[in-house]
Amino acid sequence: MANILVLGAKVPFTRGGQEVLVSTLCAELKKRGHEADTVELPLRMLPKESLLNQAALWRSLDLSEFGGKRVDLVIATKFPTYFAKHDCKVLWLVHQHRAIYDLFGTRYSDFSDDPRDEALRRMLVEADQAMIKECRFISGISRNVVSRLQHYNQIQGETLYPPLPLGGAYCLGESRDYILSVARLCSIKRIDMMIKAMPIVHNFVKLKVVGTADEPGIMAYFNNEIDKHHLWDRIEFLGRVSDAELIDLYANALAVYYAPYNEDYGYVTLEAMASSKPVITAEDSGGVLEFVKHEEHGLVLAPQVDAIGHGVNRLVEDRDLAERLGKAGRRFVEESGMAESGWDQVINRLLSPLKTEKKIKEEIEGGNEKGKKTGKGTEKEEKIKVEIRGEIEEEIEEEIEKGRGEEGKFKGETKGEIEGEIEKGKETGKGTEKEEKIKVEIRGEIEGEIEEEIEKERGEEGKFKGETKGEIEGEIEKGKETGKGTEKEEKIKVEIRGEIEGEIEEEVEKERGEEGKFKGETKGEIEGEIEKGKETEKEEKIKGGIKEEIARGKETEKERTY
Amino acid sequence: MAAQRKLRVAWFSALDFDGETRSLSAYVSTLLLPLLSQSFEIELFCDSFGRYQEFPTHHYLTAYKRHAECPFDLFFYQLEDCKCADFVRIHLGLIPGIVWFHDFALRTDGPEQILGSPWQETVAKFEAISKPDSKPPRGTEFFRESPLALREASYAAVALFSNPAAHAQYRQSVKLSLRAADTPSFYLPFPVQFFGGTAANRNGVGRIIFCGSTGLEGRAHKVLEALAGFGTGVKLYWLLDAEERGRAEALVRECEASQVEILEGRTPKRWQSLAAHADLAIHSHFSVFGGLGPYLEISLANGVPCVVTDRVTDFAAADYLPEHLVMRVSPGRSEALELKALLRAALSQEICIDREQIRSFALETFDHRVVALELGQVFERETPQLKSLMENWRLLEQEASLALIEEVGASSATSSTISSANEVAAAFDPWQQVYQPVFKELGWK
Repeated sequence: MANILVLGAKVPFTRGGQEVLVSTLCAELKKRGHEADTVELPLRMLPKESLLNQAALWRSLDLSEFGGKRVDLVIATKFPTYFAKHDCKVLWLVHQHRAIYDLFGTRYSDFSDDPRDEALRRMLVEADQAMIKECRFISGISRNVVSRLQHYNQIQGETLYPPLPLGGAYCLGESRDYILSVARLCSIKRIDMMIKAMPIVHNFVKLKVVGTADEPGIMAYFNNEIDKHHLWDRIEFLGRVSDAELIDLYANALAVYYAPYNEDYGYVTLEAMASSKPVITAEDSGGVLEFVKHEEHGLVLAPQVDAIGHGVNRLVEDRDLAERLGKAGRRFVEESGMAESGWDQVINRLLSPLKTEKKIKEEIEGGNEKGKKTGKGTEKEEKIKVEIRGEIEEEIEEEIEKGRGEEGKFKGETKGEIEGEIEKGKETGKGTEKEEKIKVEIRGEIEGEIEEEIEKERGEEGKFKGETKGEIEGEIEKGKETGKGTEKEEKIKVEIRGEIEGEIEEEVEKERGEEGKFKGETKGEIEGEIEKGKETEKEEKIKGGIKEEIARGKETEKERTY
Repeated sequence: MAAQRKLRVAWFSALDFDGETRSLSAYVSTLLLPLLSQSFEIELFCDSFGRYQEFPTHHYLTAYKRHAECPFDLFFYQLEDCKCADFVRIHLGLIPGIVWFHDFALRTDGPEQILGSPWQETVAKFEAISKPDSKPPRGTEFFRESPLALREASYAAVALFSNPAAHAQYRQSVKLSLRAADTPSFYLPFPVQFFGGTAANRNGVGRIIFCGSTGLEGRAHKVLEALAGFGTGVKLYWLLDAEERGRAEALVRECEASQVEILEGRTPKRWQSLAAHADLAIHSHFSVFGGLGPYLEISLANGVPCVVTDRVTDFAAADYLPEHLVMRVSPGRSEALELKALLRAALSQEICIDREQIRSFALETFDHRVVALELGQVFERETPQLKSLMENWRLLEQEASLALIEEVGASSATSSTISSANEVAAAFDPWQQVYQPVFKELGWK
């Protein structure tokens, strides 16, 4: 069991999806026997220049150990928590600072073309890139978040949907004459659109709004709209409610309105669906649309007041439709496992770097004790390793996917064999045995090869061939300024990267054999090989390599950790 | 002799990913990119994430990074009065360059980003770049004072216009720009692709094509009024955007015009297919906003006799065309009558219209190869001047960066108003001890 910190950036006096995610994740980790706690710093968006300080504050924290307990893993969630420094940092991204990405150019961003704003934006984007790449495992809470990371930062991530915070507590009640809105009261959630649509909606239908304001002037704006259309009797602001009250509100609503602009994920969507209620959303609502299909689980409408108003009326006038959509939503939640059991998958993936570390530790412990006491290694080595490791993780995943082939399975495998393996994967939480085997072997080899390459460059005297100490220091200084590393480091990385690409391909192909599957193997043979695997040449090479390094007294990442 | 390196061009434009674009910039890019890419190394920047043909295509927010990795010699923008060009309007303020204005009067204030843009300050600061003490105050609100794209024009190191009237407006109204009085500006027409064959003179006027909007500025109501009474010998093919169909049908009913066929999908591609078989085209327009291109140019390229709106002070879109090549109608009370008379004259061949002459003029002026050549010459000629402008812009960016860090540092330092009996607390400077080392690590300077 591990000591884990979940990092959250909190806006005091508000409670949104991010806060729920952090607290629920922590609780779920504890349920599974881990020591888990949260580290939260307050986040303020204004003035926007203060974002630099806040990011720097996270970076300056020492999260390595507390009260004698070593922190094994930290889980960053949103900007700027991933600036934190830790050997084993993983990311489950809620969102970055969207004002400099997808919201740039919209009314929701406060960044103009002022050269200082642009300087700030570039600094944050560059730093985001570097900080996220430090993470051993990168994921996002929805496809929308992951694709933003890919598009704006060219970083690959995995989608891990957060399961519902209240698990299986959601239920279906009656269908009373109110539309429910659950969201922080801010402009991007577009509750004003629903308020403005109320004059179009049948008079007897009310709007109940759960959530607190976290944007200056927002309540004055809402109240102005309510006054303008004489809606005082039809709109009720409930503020924050208890979990029991929330479940009850969901259960008895006619429908749930949730139409934010390009939402990251939206717990509300799934909560509504789990409560068998149709969701009223908009065509540009982002993450919501990963679950809600038009006229299947709700209504996906043009982001205009008229469209929203008429959409609501459609559900008011056709209760059978509302019921059908609601039931379909409930079925979706049940079949996808988002209610309760989804946490196993999420936590297994978030903690996956620990498992890799554990295997490496076992190998090293099989080696020389002396290695653990040798010190930290040079800056250059550390920098190269961190960067390459991040890239390797991505490359391994790509190779696995390539290995899957066009039909989504390893070539030559029957569907039954794959399902059997997947079943086994679910029990272990590790994925298929073949995948794990490939990953572990390649990872281990690469670690060794990286060290060998660096050492080759160093030459016999422990420095880059022909360089004096001053030259090396000069290069390191230059490296720090550019943020890119010295020319030699770059050269090493490019060369190694190219070699690794080729080697991964070769290894995977070698394993596959001509028929696209592990050569002539039956299940029994595979198991036999796995057993035998402990004595194969590759592993001997890895172990031998590590032993040599330990003997030379140089500390690798593995040694320092364990 | 070593091969000369191709100039690297960052090309900002809406792009035609699906072959059905209405965007003027996308239309121009489709025609010119294949030609210009032979002489220039072009990378595309747009507001989406797809790849356009074989060109390296990036999201526009990554342009500065791409520029740092592999510097461009120039930034080229196409601006039009369309939401699809909002990202161009934004990025002009981030990195200036050569701008080709397809519209100079803009109906919207633009993306929220630039509503409060301090562009006047930035341009003034740029001019005073050698005076490091000049620091314009922040916090002033800036408002768009006229529909003209003054902000965008001020960031245009070179200004091109696809309409001479817009060019004239620019010369009259733009006073503030990065190159001050030296900003070169040119008229560069919309390109048209010619499809070979000579324009044949046809007997009689049968097929009339029209692509004006249903609004007053399109003059559709005058066109329909003019058609009344022509009988079945004439048919009007009215190409417009799908969302205007309802209004168009209502207008046709109101004007009791029976010889009208409404076609949806107002794109240059669609217009080309109509113009190839048309006997006459009506290109009427009466507004400071919008223009006629490239539809007028396409009609002329097909040798189609065109009727245009006569000179209106300052914003006649077709004013530059020679008298013998187009027929003109004055907007206003007698417009429908004039148009009707012109159509009768053309129908009865009282007016001799030499289609070959029209086509020759268009070939000489609008051929996409000619336009590409001219644009390429602008790139090559202006690159040396742009180099020094970009160097100064880089200084401006650096100053801004430094100013930002200074501002952040000053707000992070220990406040002198905090009194403390505790010497340790008094000695603690968060900037020095917490933030600055991290800023250094992250390369924030």
